[in-house]
Amino acid sequence: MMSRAINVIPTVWRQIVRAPIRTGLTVTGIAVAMFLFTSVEAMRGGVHAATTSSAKDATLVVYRENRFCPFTSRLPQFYGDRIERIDGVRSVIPMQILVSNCRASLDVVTFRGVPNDDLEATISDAGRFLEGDAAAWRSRSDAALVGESLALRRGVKVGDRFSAAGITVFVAGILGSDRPQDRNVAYVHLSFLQETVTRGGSGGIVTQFNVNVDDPSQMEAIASSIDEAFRYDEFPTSTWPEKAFVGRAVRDIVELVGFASWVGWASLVAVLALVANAIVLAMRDRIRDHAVLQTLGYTGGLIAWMVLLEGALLGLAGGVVGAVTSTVVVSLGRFSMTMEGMNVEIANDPRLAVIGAGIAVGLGLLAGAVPAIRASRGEIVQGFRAV
Amino acid sequence: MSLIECRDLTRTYTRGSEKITPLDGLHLDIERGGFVALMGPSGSGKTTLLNLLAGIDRPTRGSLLIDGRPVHTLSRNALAEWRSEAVGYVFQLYNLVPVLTAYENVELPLLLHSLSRKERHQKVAAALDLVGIADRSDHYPRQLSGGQEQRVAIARAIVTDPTLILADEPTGDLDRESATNIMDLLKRLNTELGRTIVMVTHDPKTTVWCDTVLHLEKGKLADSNADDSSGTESHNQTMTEISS
Amino acid sequence: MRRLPFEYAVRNLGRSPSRLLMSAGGCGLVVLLAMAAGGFVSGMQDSLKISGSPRNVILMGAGSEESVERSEIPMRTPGIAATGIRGIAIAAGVEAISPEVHLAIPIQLQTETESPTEENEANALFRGITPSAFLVHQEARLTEGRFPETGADEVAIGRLAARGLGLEGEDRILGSTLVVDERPFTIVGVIDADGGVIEGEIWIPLSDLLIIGQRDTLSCVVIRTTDGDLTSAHGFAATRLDLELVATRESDYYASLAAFFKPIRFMVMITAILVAAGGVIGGLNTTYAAFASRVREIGTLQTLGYSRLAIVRSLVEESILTASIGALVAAAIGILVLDQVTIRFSMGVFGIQIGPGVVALGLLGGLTLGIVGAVIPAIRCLRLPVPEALRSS
Repeated sequence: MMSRAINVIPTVWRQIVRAPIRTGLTVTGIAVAMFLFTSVEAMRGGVHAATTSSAKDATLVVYRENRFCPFTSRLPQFYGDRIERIDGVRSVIPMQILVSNCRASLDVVTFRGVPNDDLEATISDAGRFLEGDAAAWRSRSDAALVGESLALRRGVKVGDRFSAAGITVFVAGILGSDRPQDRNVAYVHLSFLQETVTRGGSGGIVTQFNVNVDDPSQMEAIASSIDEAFRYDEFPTSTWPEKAFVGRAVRDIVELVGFASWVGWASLVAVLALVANAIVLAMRDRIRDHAVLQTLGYTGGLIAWMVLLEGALLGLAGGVVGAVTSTVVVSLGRFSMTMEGMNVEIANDPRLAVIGAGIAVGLGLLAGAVPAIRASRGEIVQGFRAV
Repeated sequence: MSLIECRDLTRTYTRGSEKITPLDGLHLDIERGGFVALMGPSGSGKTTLLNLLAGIDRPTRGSLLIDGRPVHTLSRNALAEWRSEAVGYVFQLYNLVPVLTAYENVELPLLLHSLSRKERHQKVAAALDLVGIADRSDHYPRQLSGGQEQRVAIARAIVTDPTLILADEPTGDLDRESATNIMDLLKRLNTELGRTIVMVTHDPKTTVWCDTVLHLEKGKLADSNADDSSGTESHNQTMTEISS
Repeated sequence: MRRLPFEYAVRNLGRSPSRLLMSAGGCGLVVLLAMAAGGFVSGMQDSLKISGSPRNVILMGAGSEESVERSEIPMRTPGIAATGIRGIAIAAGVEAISPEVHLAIPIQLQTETESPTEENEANALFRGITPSAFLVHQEARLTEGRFPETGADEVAIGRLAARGLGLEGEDRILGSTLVVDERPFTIVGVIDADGGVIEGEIWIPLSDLLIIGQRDTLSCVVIRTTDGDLTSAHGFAATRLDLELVATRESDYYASLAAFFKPIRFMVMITAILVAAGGVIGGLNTTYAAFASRVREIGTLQTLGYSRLAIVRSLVEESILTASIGALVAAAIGILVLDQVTIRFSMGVFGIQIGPGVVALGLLGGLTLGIVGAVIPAIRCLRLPVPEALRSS
């Protein structure tokens, strides 16, 4: 039996390649649907990566209570010393955030001002200098360490000057990082940002504190302790695990992506309904061929296998083309959606391409199933008459 | 022993509330090595009988022994298996698969057998050679004339060396010259290779190549010996063209 | 020339109801998606395009031109500007100068049935204003209720912002409560602004917002000029270096915001185009296969003396009919359902706008789908010589 199943593979292949228009249309249709689907899933993946905490995360973000926009969150820098004294806190990095626009879009530039001594702690083990070094950053007050994705998007390299959000910085290094946020921001000196941005000389104000804790399992408890400490202060705080904070800040993007994922699914359904219909119709044209094959001694099962194989191969071809195109576009484009100074990088996960192609194969099989069952069950004599 | 033994062979179809019985209690023996023509008006049951012999349809009643095998008792898959080994079928409209070349069409039945690629190639080449179409093996059906298509179809029917070749009006769609060639070819298969052939035909002129002519009428065998002698007689003039 | 009767095409549709349903449904879905995308883009675009008057000038902090929310200017700016800028319009005996604070703050809606929770929290764009705001922003009208009183924890809400919160109808809007910083504010007025961004905002007395925002600076000062001449305003901003101001025409500011969202609109449009392309390809697939199975019928028609053109026409009629059914149903759904949808999108609310243009786009798309989907396959079918077509199965 196995040898028969293998013997007929070239025949199935010929059915596919010798009807180039039909195959081309079907494969293109599936590819377009898969491109959309995979791209939308990549966005979802990015949202997921940016907003879902893992057990390893040990960073808390202290923000002004009830504020999300970096323009409106202002906390006195001296809070940092008080936070550092709270049990379980390992380190505190005060941060000033400047974005060109709080609104959600692609290609928003985010500056993060950090104290001179805290650069290494900020970029942590996840980050590394792709170009330049920490010394170069420290040597200039207007130096910026630019995340690799941002640098690629903006086409900046070490030694360039680059302006955004009303300030001009000198590119002292390019930062590579495992953290999507860090790939999409530029780190500058805190004092530089405070001087340039905060008018009226009221330095000592920061947007947020990034707090590293000793024990990730204690995050919630420490967050409560921090907020408790400032509850009756002039500037009450709200402390969140970093990813959860991002999730709240970018919720419009989350909603938009949720909407987009509906569009992705709907287009998948629409296109594949039409393509499946086409496969079914194409197979109907072949009822006579199948009857002939059965007369030659092909069993219903063998013909069903041939039909399913054809559907699966068409699905595979379309799925691979669509998913690979999407993966290439997403990874070359380095798209990042930014809102409230938080980034959602559209994730480029090769697994997505595999899943996408898998779904396409499944749908090809599904489309082939109807004619396959018909071919294997139908009376041969009817097959000759049907056409 | 006869190659084919039909006993009380009956086939009834139900169409809506109506019952049609194209084949009604047929008794028939066909000898090994014969070339039998089945004739009769439309609806007389010729094609139904051919389909039963081919194992692509099953009797409602009665028994059908072919080469000692009780074909009427075989399961669907066993029938398919049996068809792939014992039967070659030639259609009126050739029924070649349009996207496959002549060579690939002839190869189709061999894919069911455990053969190496080389063995398959030898058999296909031999069959194409036998039907005289070896030079057209790369052509697609649409690039062939009707007569050529039918030759390919015949090659496909004989490539597995079946004991029984069934043909359903093999010349029905062909001009006279092509028809003559096809009939000559079938006759050669019959005499030189000893294949048993059962052919449904409408055209009395084609019966001159046959050694037995059976007349079916309303699902039963009509007077069958009338043409028996003429069939043998015509044996000598097989190579002559049919004159109108 | 003999023409095939229209009924021939109509009757053919009935031959396979499932196929009709599938083709029309697929086409309808594509049209609906195209309309959703078109409505999204035009809704977003229009709300920004019609916002801001060319006669108004915004004074804001230098370096904050991209986003007025980032801007901070001294509280004394309006007074200085009033004397420093010439050509300020006067309405009801008052100079049209509006000091404003723009702030995005999360709010929670509190109704009889809903208590404020994190789930129904939403970012809202607050504009702290004085009564003179209505002199400057003349498209803004208080259509229901009254102006919020300072210190009374009252706000007025834009029509779209209210709809975005699920509030519709005067009874439901007025009297509802918004919770800001755990402090309840009552909605006492509804603002309409011809669909501009103001409709997506919440207006609150300036001093109340200064307290909420804990700030002692304004975001901007908006001034209405008599003739739209900004020379004086530019001169003022350039000479008063101590204030660090820039003067921007209000309509230009919103145009730049519209430009800022371009990538988003671009993505949405690309998606729509891909969906439509997928639809065309899928449709082609289907009709191609459907017509291929009718080659013999087409051959027969030719034998009967119908010209190729007549047959193509009939096949295209059939396909257009199918596509039209889908497109019309989709357009109806779009107008009835989509048009009501509001989208809250980063500091603003806009409605999906299924205007005549978008409907026309959708219907045209459906029609194209029908024509393109039929013409190419029909021509291919007809290329076959008649005898071969008759013989084919």
